[in-house]
Amino acid sequence: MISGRIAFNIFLLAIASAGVVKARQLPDFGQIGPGDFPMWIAGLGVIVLLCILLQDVRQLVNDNVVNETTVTRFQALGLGLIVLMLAAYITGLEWLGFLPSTGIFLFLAAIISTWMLDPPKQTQEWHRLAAFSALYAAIATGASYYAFTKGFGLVFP
Amino acid sequence: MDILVNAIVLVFDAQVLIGILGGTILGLIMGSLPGLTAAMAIALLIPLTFGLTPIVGMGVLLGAFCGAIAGGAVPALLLNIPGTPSSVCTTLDGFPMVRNGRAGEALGLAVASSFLGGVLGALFLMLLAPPIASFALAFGPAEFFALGVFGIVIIASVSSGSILRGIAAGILGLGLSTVGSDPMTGVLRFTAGEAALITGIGLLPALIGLFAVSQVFKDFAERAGLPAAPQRGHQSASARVPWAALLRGWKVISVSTIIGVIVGAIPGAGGSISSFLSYDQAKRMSKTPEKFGTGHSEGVIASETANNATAGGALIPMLTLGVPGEVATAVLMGGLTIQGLRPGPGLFEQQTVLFYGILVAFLLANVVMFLTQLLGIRVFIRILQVPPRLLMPLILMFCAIGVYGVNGSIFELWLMLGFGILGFFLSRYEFGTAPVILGLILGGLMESNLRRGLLVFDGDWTQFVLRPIAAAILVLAALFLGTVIVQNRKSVPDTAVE
Repeated sequence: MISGRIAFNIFLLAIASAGVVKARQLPDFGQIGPGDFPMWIAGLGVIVLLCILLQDVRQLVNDNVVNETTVTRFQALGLGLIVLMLAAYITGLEWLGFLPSTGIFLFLAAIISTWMLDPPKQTQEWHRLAAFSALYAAIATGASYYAFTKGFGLVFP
Repeated sequence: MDILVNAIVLVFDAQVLIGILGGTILGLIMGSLPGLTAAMAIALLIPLTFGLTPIVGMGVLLGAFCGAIAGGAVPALLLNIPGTPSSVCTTLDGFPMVRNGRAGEALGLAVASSFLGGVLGALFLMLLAPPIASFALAFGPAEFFALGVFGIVIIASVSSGSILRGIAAGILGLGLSTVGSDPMTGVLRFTAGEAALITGIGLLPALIGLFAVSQVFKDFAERAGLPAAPQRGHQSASARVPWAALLRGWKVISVSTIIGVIVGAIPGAGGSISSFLSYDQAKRMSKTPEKFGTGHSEGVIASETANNATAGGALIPMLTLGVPGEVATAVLMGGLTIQGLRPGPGLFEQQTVLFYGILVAFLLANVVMFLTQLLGIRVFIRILQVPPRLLMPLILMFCAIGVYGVNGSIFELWLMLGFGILGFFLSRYEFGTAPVILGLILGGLMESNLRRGLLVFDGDWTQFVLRPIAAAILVLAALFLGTVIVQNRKSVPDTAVE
C-alpha cells in the first residue's frame, strides 16, 4: 500500500504540473503577461515537490520507515463523518436557513463527537446524551442567532 | 503642548471613556471568536456610531480595533486557531506552550506584549507620524516587490526543520493567490468557470479553513477511539503576567515594536507580515533559536508585540495621508468619513486638537484593552475546561458564521471546508499551514508590484535592484536566506514543522 505521505506529494506535484500547463495557455500581454507569474510559481513548485518526493521515496526505500502516525479505521470513519456533517451543514444553510441547519448540525455533531471521543457506556446514558445535545444545540443556536442578528445586524440565510 | 493638553481634556470625558471601554470589550470578544476579524468588528460597530460625536465615535472604533487585534491571540494560544490573520504567528509558539500546561503564562505574555506593543506604537505615532509617513511614501513598486521577496525568505526561516516543505507550502499559497481575475488585464485565471472565483480566493476562508477547521479535524483524528485524556490542569493562579520573562525579552519587545510600527505604516503590509518578520528576527537574536516552535516565550512576545504595534503604525498613513495601512484601517477610514472627518494632511492642519485626541484615545484604548484582558485571563483559561466534544462543534459553527458574515457567500463556506481538508493533510505531512497564508498574502503584493514596476520603469528590470530601499531589502533577504541555509545544514535534518 502506498504511503499517504508520498500520495500527498504526488497530489501536490500533479496540481503544480497542471498549473504550469494551464498558465502556458493564458494569453501573452506585454513584458509579463497574466500567465507568466503563475507559470514561474508553478514551475518552482514542480521542482521543489520533486525534491521532496525524491527525499521521501529514498527514506522509504533505505530505512523502510514512514514518518507518519497511522490513522485507525475508526478515526478515519469519525473524521469522514465530521467532514460530511460540515458539508451537509453548508448545504443546509443554503436550503433550510440558519436556525434549522445550525440546530441540527450542533445536535448531530455533539452526538458524533461524544461517540468518537468519550462514548457513554450504558444505553440510559445515550438517552441522556441525546436530551443534553438537543438542549445544547437549541441554546447555542438561539444565542448565536440573537447575538449576531440583533446585536451586530448580520443577515443570515 | 497646549494642543496636547486640550486633546487629553477632550478624551477624558465620561462619554468618550465609556465609548472606548465598550468598543474595546466588543472588539476583544469579536477578535477572540475564530472567523471574526478586526475589520469585521469595526464594520459592525460603524452603524452604532452614527449618532455619536466624532471623538466618541472614534473612541468606540479605536477600542474595537485594539481589542480585536489583541483578542485574536486568545484562540490562537488556546485552540491553535488564530482569531485574526495577524495572530497566525502567535500559534507557532503559543499553542505548544498551552499544550505543555503553560496556558496562564502564555496568556499573560500575550496580554502584556499586546499592551506594550500597542502603547509603544501609539507613542511612536504621536512623536514620529510625519517622518514615518514620508518613509512609507517612498515605497513604490520596486520596494513592495522587494518586501514580498523578503517575506518569501521569512517562510523558509519560520519553517524550522523541513525548509523544503515550508517553501512548498509557501509556493502553494503564492499559486493560490493567482486565482481570479488578473489585476492588470482582467484575464480570468484558474477560475474553472466559477463566477465566485473572479475576485480570487478570499484570505478569510483560507485562514479559517487552514487553521480552525483543520485543527478540529486534527483533534478528532488524534483523539478518536482513545480513552478520554484527563483535562490538563491549567491553574488559573498561573494566569498572570510573567513580568520577569518580559524583562528578559526587552530586546525582542523593542525590535518587534519598531518592526511593527514601520511595517504597519507601509500601506498594504499588515499585521501578519510584521508578526512573522518580528518572529524571525527574535529567533535570530535568541540564544536558543532551536526552541522556537516548541513553546518559547520570546516567540509569543515577538508576534503579539509586533501585531499590536502595527495597529499604531497603520494609523500613521491613514491619519496623515488618508491612505489606509491595512484592511482594518481602511474600514476605520469609513468610520471617520461618516463622522464628517477627512483623513489626510487637512485633518492635522485644520483639526489639530481632534487629531491628537484620536491619538490619545488610541493610547487609552490600549490601556483599557490591557486591563480588560488581565481581568479576562482567568475566564479565558476556562475555555480549556469545556469538553472537546462540545467545544469543537461550536468552533465549527463560529467558523461558518465568521466566513459567511463577511460576504454572505455560501461558496466561501465550501472554500473553507476545502481548505480545512487541505490543511489537515498539510499539517499531517509536515508542510505547515502558516506558509500557505503568508504566500497567499504576499503573492498579490509581489505580482502586481512586479508588473506595475515594469510598466513604470519602461521594462527596465534593473530598477528593482538599483533603487536604494529595494536594494537594501533584497540584500537583507539574501543575507537572511544564507543564514537559514547555513543554520539548517548545522541542525538535525527533517524534524517536524508544525
